[in-house]
Amino acid sequence: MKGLKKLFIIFIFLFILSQVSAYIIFKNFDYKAQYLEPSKTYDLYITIESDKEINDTVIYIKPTNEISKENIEIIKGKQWIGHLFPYEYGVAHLIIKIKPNAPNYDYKITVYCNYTKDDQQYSENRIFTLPVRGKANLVIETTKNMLNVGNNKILLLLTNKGTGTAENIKVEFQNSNNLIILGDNTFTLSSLNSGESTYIPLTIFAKKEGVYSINYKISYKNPYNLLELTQKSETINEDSKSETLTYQNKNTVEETGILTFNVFPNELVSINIKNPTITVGKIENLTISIRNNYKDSLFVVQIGKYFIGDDQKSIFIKKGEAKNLTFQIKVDKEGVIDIPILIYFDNNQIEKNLTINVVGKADLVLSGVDVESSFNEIKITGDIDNIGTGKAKSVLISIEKTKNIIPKKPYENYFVGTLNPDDYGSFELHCQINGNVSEIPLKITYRDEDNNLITIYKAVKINRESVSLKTNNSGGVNYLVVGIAVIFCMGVIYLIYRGFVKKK
Amino acid sequence: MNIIEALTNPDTFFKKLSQKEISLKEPFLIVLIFSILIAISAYISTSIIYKIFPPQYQQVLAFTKIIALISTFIGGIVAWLIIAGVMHLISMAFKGEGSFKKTLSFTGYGFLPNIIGALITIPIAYYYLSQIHIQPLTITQMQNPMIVQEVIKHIIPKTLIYTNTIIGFAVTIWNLYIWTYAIKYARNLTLKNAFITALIPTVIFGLYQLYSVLKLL
Repeated sequence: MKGLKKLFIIFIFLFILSQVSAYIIFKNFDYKAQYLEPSKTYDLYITIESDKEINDTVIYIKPTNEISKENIEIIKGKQWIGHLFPYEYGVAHLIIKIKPNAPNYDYKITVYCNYTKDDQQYSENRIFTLPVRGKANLVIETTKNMLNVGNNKILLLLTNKGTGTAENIKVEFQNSNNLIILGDNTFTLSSLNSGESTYIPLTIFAKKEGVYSINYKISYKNPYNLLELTQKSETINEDSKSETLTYQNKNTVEETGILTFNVFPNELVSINIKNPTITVGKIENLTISIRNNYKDSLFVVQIGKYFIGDDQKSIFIKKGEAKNLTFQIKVDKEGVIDIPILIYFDNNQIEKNLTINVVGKADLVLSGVDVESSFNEIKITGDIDNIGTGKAKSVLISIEKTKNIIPKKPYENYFVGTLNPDDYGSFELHCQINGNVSEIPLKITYRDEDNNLITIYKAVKINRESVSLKTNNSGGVNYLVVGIAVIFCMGVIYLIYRGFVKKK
Repeated sequence: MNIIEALTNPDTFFKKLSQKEISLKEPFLIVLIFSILIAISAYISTSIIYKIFPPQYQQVLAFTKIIALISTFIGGIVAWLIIAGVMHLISMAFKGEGSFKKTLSFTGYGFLPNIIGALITIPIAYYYLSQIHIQPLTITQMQNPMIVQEVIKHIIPKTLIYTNTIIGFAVTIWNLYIWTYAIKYARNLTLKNAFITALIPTVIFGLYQLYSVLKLL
């Protein structure tokens, strides 16, 4: 009981002592805003008033608790005030920064004031609140600032780059002379959190080529009052001083902006394929024609699939000109396929799929060809084989008529019909030969799978010895033998002549 | 009688012969030799030419060749009779006198140049025709006379055609020379009338022979 009494006396003594030693009053703690925003730096003004004359006055701050310590960075935390007369104000200018990721919270900071009076050290402190609230900052960016003449569907990126949530967002676009918003020109959104983005779809009709802008107005609301000191005035009477502070509530934000677009002709680049049909399983040339509607540029074309060798080529094309680029490709499956290509030019990129038709192709060859010749008539028999990958329809084989080769009915041509891959058909052709002929030209016509009429030519060599009877049997004249006949004839004439002369 | 004189000096030969008794033995022998020679020539030619026929016809054609051989042999003798007959008839227009036997006998000597001509042309024909390589025609081709004609035209060597033409021409005018004097003395005609009488069958006979050869060109 005696100990408890002693402890109470000490407590009372310390209380009285503390009351007696408090010579300063914390008059003001000001950071010029209602709320503090993350990532911003604030000037902190701490005003004290002394009852008595004090010396060696120092004001400094420290975060009060752990959460405050983590989110408030003290840039300038201490200021020397020095001597203060009785009732004189001392103002400390300190600097703090709210860390970027600081969550909304009422942080606490302790302000200390150390001073001496009558060579005795004193220290006073007081805890103040730092209410941190994030502030929204909406930014609109274009994903594509190039438009073509005509209708353009674009997406604008609306991003909250601020530290607080934006509510009741409304974006209103305004038409300009050459850019007209088609459809609804107003976009609304209930809220957008800090760091989040959303797309605003917009259809813009561009009247003509050039650089044009559209204006927009964006309005949104912060979820709490944002009073910001806009005016401060002081009135000093004889013995008193009054201060008037004017704040503006900035919780509703209204901003305007401009989006600028470069309008180009309808197609910056026209791309065509010269040979849209290729043969399956065969290395083929894919020739791409690029027409430049933009401006003189170096075009880099990259092919995404099926290429053999180089997948990238570059070419300089003047505005209005068209040039060809050829890639080697090989496709091993039939059908309509897409080949992705990328075209880079003047910081632009165009992605496009080139559609080509991959078809099987018939390849007709002759085999087992037999040539029978009797005097000047030739009979050709054999097989026509399809060694290709496509079907050959309506195959007709015929002998080409020339000066020395006359096809003979009924085998002047032979209809083989349809030949599927790995299929064959037999044929028989007859012709008459005049003069020296070493080969018979054959014409093969068929329709491919797209019903295109294809004509190919083949030649069948013939055995000259077996048909050129004229050369062997009656070609040369033996003038020695004929000469003997002539001498005989002259001898007879001379004999008759001599008989008549003798008679006379 | 000197047979050579009939060739070299028919005037003297037939003058002497007209004074002798008419005999067909010697003229017949001449025509017989001529017929045998032209039959041999025809056999050689047909043997070669028939090679153009398809092999399955060759046996049938062997018989045809014998017929050709016989007909050509008989044709030689018939030609003698016709020529003698034609000249005898024509000479009647010139009031010729003399028997047909005498005309037949005398014209028979006129085939002596043909024997000489045949002795020259047959070896040449055999030499050239035996060297010909012939591709048989098909049945379809055989049915076309144009093709057959073209083939024959092509397989007969030009040398043979030219030689036969020249020798044939020489033999024909030699025939005319001999037959002029033969008919003169056989029918007691003037030389001019005898020439005309001999000329007509000779020209017909000669032109026919010439045509037969020239159509092969």
